[in-house]
Amino acid sequence: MALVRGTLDVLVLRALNWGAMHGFEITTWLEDRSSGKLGVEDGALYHALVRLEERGSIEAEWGETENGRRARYYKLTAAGRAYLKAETERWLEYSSAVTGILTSPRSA
Amino acid sequence: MLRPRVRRLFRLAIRRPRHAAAEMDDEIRFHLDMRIAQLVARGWSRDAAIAEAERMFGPLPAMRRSLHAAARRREEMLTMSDSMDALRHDVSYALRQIARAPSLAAAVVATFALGIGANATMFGIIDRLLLRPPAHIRDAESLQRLELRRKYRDEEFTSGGFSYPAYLDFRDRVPAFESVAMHTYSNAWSLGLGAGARRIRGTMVSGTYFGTLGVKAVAGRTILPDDDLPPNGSPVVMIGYGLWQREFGGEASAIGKTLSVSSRTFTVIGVAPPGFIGTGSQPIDVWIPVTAAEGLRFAGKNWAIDRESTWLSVVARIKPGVSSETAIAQMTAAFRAGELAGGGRRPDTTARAQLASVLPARQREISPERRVAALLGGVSVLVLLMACANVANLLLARAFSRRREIAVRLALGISRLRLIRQLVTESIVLATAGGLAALLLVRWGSAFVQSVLLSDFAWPDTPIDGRVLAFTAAATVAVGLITGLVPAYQGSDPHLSRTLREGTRGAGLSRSRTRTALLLLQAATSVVLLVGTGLFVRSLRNVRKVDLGVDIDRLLTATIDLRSVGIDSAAADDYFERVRETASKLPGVAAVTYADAPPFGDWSLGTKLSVPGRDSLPKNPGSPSWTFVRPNYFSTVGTRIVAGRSFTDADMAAGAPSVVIINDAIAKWIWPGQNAVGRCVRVGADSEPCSDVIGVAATTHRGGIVEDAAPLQVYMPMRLAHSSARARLVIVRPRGVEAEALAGPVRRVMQTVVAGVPYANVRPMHDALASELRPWQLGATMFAAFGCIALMLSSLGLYSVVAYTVAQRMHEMGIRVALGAQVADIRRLVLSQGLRIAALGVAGGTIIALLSGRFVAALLYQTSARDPVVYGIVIVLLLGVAMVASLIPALRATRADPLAALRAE
Repeated sequence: MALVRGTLDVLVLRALNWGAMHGFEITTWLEDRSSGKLGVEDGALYHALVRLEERGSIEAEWGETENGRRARYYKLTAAGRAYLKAETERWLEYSSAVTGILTSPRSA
Repeated sequence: MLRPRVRRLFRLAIRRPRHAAAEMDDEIRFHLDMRIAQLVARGWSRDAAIAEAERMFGPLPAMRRSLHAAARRREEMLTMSDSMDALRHDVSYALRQIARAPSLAAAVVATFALGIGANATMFGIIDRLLLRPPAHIRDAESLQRLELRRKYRDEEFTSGGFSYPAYLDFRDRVPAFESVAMHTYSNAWSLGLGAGARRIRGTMVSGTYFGTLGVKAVAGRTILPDDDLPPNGSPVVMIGYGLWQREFGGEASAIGKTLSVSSRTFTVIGVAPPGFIGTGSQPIDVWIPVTAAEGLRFAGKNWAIDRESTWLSVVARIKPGVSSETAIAQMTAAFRAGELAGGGRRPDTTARAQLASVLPARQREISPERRVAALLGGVSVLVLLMACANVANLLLARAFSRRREIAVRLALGISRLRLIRQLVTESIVLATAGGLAALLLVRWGSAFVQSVLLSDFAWPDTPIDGRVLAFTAAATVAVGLITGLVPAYQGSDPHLSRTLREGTRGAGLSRSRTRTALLLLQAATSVVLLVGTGLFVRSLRNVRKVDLGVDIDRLLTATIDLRSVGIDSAAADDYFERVRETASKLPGVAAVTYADAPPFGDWSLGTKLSVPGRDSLPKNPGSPSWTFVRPNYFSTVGTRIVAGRSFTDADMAAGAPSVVIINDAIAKWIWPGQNAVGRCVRVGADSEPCSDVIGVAATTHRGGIVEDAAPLQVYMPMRLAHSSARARLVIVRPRGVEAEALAGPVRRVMQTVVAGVPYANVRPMHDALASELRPWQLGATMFAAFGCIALMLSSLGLYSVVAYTVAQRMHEMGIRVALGAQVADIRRLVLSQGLRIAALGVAGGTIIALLSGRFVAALLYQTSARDPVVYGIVIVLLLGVAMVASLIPALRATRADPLAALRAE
């Protein structure tokens, strides 16, 4: 499935909620969590990461992986965390409203 | 999947926009490798895995490019926001630090305001006087003024005046010129007639003038060549912006109205842009085509063909691509050919043409006011440096008192560069506050200088314009940086941690050396400035004391152009007699007389003197000038009769014997050591009768305060019947009031005693002096202002340093007192420290002042640049101030409590 526009950003922030990850980790995390149903072009993910860093929701550091390879790690900032919380609430409200209408009987 | 136990580098990713693309490539490479490994682990073949990884990433070349661009932009945006954050942080930190020391901040801001304000004021003045090209002239750099280099009796001199035919030659016979125009010097004319007449300044121009200068009218149109067709042109006038506002309220309906200029009627055709005054420096209200200016022209009836009268200035533009040598050669040829063809008595065929710039800074002879202004500009820079030195000292002291806090921050890992940046931000914030306050100073200072000291120039309405603002901003930033860097650099010394261990006693020798050096600089600068003040003040006093032979300060003079309203000699006699009678009866008037030349001011024409019976007279330094006067002339103007008597009414009667009064210089020249009264001298041609000398008058100055040789003056009785056609000058001697107070009443009398007369130009006689005095007045006033500022800064600087050192050495003072030192010893110790620095600085400053005396010597009057009295006073004054400045902290030191000092740390 293609992602609804604008949700990639909040999904990336959610991925980083529990700690820093590099780009590939975020990709596999999203793939695992959505059981492969959401298809994200890898390149689009990196565009999202650039966007989020520019906006100040995440910040980046170069680090070393377990295997000693150099990778760019991203983590949430305080602003990012606040944004994630607000957007999550909005999404849940929105989706419950839409779900409510789509699953309601003909008359209610 | 999360990977625990990830090792990271300590620091955040450093912003490097240039490397953004390469780093993005690294990220992409890493991602692809991981994906390939993942696929291979799931059983894909290596090649298939590579293809699939690239497919999953997205179209690779385009994706890479877009990610590069995105990464670069990200780095740039984040760098900027990092800088903004750092700046905001630095500024708020600076403000907090400043708030902790408010009196220091106030002192620094005040010092900055004085220094920057003085400089910005001088810059504004110098900008208008020297730097700016004349307003509204298109490409003033390439506009040339024409001049002639001529020989007169073996002496070469340059002249800028031409005759009208010469102008026509240049216009028509020099193909190298793209456009040529002429203009006259500005004249004082009358606007309107009778009681409401007022004075304006105007100039006559050729029809090509506005086109050559490239000036457009802001309303209506400019004067065009069609308005200037011989023989009589069109009676049109172009008015200045100021006149437009004053007389017509700036209404567009002014175009087409008529104006009466010196009782001739002209139609207004256009308005010049605000501030346009041609290439001169005086304000101009009207421009008239020269062919239409009948009666206003200086040359006589044959002005259009007379090559002898040189009353015009000529400007021109050279065609692009033509060299100035070509133009000059053509000009010279045209001029010489014109001289020959003109058939004049002495055609000048050796004259050489030359070109000069119209820019004020490039004139051959820069007027004294401009030179003084430039000098003052340099002086104001000195004052600013002094202010910076003061502030630097204060900031050094403050940095020292914050050394603990700084040492702690250094220990916590702040980089020295960042610390210096923060400290410099503080001084820039203070400088900005000072710069804003400086703008206030500029408004007042400029207004004062423009209206009081240099009132003859055409100044714009607002003293603060874009250039002055830009200068102030630049000066503020420069000053903030300079004063902040040294204290910041020293205050952030990484070896400060030592001071934490040493306690209050560690006082870095190098720091006090800098402070002392700054103080020496200030003292030296103060000496130089105060010496300058003294020299100029002395010059001014000497100038004022010169005995001109005439009571210039008291008298009022008036001129009026009766010829312009057709009043000829006989009616003029009647007019002036009526004026004299009526004005004598005004309250506050002691006497009224009139002559045909002013006692002061070089109007007179020369004549020849001879004594019957003597073949020749000794060589005289100048030619004698002559003037017709009434009997009460000498008593009215205040010139003493040193021998013999003045004229009486009997001498004035027609048919009375020919008598004459000579001045003392002539008496000494012709009859040295003898009594000249009773002798006879022939004035003028040999056919004249020999006139009896009935009196000798004191010698008066003729041309100015500074004169090379005593002028020779002959006075003759003004017999009304045979008075010459020259203009008459009315002179009024007030009794008990200032001359200015009588100007209005006298003018009213002159403009109403007979109907339909034009504007009477009434002004105090010392106005004639004013332009001569101006350079010295400017110098004296401004030097005094700067000298006072310098003195204040030096004494504050010395006080603060000595006070600070005392505070530092309280511990040591306490020990001394405990060891038995007396109050007097402590006082002597502190005083001697302050005086030692002051003496050293004063000595250095005296030497510098003596050496640089050469530069100001030319601007002084009868004062040596090494005047010992001035130097003496300045040295004593400065040492006295230093003593007082050191005494106050010294007294505080004597109250040092030894126990408290020993216990304190």
